[in-house]
Amino acid sequence: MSRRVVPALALLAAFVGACRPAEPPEAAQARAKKLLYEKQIQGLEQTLARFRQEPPSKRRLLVAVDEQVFTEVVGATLPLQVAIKDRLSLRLEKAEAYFRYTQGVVLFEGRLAGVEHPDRFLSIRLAGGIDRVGLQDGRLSAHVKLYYFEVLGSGLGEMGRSVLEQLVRDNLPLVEDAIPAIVIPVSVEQGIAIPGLGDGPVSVEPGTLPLSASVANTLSLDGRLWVSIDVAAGPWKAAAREAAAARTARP
Amino acid sequence: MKRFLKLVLALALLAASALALAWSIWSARHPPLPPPPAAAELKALEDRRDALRAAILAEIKKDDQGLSKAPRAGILIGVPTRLTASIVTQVVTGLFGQTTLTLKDLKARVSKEVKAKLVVKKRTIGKIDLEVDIHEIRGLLEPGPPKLTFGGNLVGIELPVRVASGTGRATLHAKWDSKGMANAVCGDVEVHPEVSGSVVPTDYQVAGAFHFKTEGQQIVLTPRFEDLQVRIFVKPDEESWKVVEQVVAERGKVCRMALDKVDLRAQLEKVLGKGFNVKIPSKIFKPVRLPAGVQKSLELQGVRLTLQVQPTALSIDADRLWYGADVRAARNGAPAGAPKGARPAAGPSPPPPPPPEESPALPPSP
Repeated sequence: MSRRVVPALALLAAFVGACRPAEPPEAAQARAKKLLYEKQIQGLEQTLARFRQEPPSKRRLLVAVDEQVFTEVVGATLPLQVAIKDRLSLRLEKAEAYFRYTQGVVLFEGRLAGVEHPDRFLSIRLAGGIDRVGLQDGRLSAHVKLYYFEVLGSGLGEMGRSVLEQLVRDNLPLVEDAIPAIVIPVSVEQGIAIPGLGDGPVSVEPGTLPLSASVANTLSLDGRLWVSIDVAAGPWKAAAREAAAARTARP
Repeated sequence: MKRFLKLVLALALLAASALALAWSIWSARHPPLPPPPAAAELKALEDRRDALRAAILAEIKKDDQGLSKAPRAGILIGVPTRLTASIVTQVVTGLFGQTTLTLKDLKARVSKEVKAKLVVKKRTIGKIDLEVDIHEIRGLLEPGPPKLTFGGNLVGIELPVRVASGTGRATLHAKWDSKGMANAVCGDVEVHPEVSGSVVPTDYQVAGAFHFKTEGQQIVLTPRFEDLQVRIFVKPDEESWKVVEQVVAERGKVCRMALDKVDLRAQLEKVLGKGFNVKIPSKIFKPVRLPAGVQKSLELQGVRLTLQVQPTALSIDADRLWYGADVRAARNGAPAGAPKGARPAAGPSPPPPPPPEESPALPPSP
């Protein structure tokens, strides 16, 4: 008997759990607002303390991206379909970015379905914070760290919806991993190449000024995402010297 | 029948227990939510948030690094003048440090009649023709520390440059044509020794400017310099002097006296002392692209986007150079609309932009 009863009981438990009555939307909104304000206040306090301790550096390269541009660039890559563990299919259809009160937030809307039944889906909203802004091959990109998931609508019935909702909520990191990094259309070169001169009595060796850049910090404020980048230039490398060094290094 | 009823009852009891167990597990894992915050509590948090934001803006305003004059744009890039100065300095000194001046097949000559007092009267004793056939002079430039000044749309530069070192090779064609009595005792002399020398260091000052302008999606520093006229002086080395002295030493005593009168060394110094002109063309200065720019296209998950980039104005402050661009994105094949920029400001771009009306409708719960 136990072989049949135990799975049934587990399913029942899930059903009972899923049957908790939903909170009125006003209460949920108020709770969310409080949480958001608290996050914003925490971020603002940290930023203010940082600015008072050390004013914004004059040595760093600054890049500011307006939230509308960010929204448009991300939106232009949508719809985007990604698989989660080969079982779920996440289709992101809409994105909107908000860079306010130190919180860089991206809201996604889309659909979540089983890979085998794409017609039975949940309409969902995901929210995440801008996280790990970095430079890769001279290109700025940002990852989104998800911290919110909401079902907007479902064709699965109340129980199916609740079960799937909880399943996704418990596995947000997997969903997060499936969302690709967002590319910010700003590039920071890795070097400045200058051609030489070889005509007449004057000859100049070409060379390169290497640049190394890394993101120091970010700040979302008043509709802009500010990215502060440490850039170090030099020393100058003459092409001839480089070639000679390469020849020496070759076995 | 009784057994069946007992079984049903047992199963019902088991199901009820399972339900109770499931509920307790669920309750333990999902405790009831606290009561939602009151409106007054939310208002207090909002006020605190706005006060903190105002305090941050006040801190930024203390030294906004030229942000108040920066153009309004969807993407704004602020390049520190220190970084620009470092780049300009290293590029310019790097290029000048790798500059070689090479002069080939130059000729310099001097021709002079030599007179000497013979008995009672000064007479011409001969004529010296000295021609220096320079095969090659190679001079290396050495830049000093430049002085940069930022102003308007320009970065001015004053760069000390030294023609620091170098060598030269030449053939000296010396022809002594004796006249009168000297002809009888000395005759004509013609020698063609190979000589070499080193470049005499000389200092110059290069002055000009780089003009900032937007080119495509980047800021480019365009050079504005004049050609630089340089004069290379060569000093024969000691070995070469010995060769010249040997020419004299090999003659007879009277002839040596005549040639001493000529003073070949002085004549050679005179020929070389004029130096050789070299023009360093202004095109030695190349346009320099500042390292940050807005991309025209990008690729994400196999989707290629074409970005329509509309550069806005450029502004230069003592601390920063601000460059902006409005951007509009479209998938390849799809038309892009007008470039999207920042929200319109109510006048010249204030530092920082006006506060957003309201926070986005955000997450009901984490």
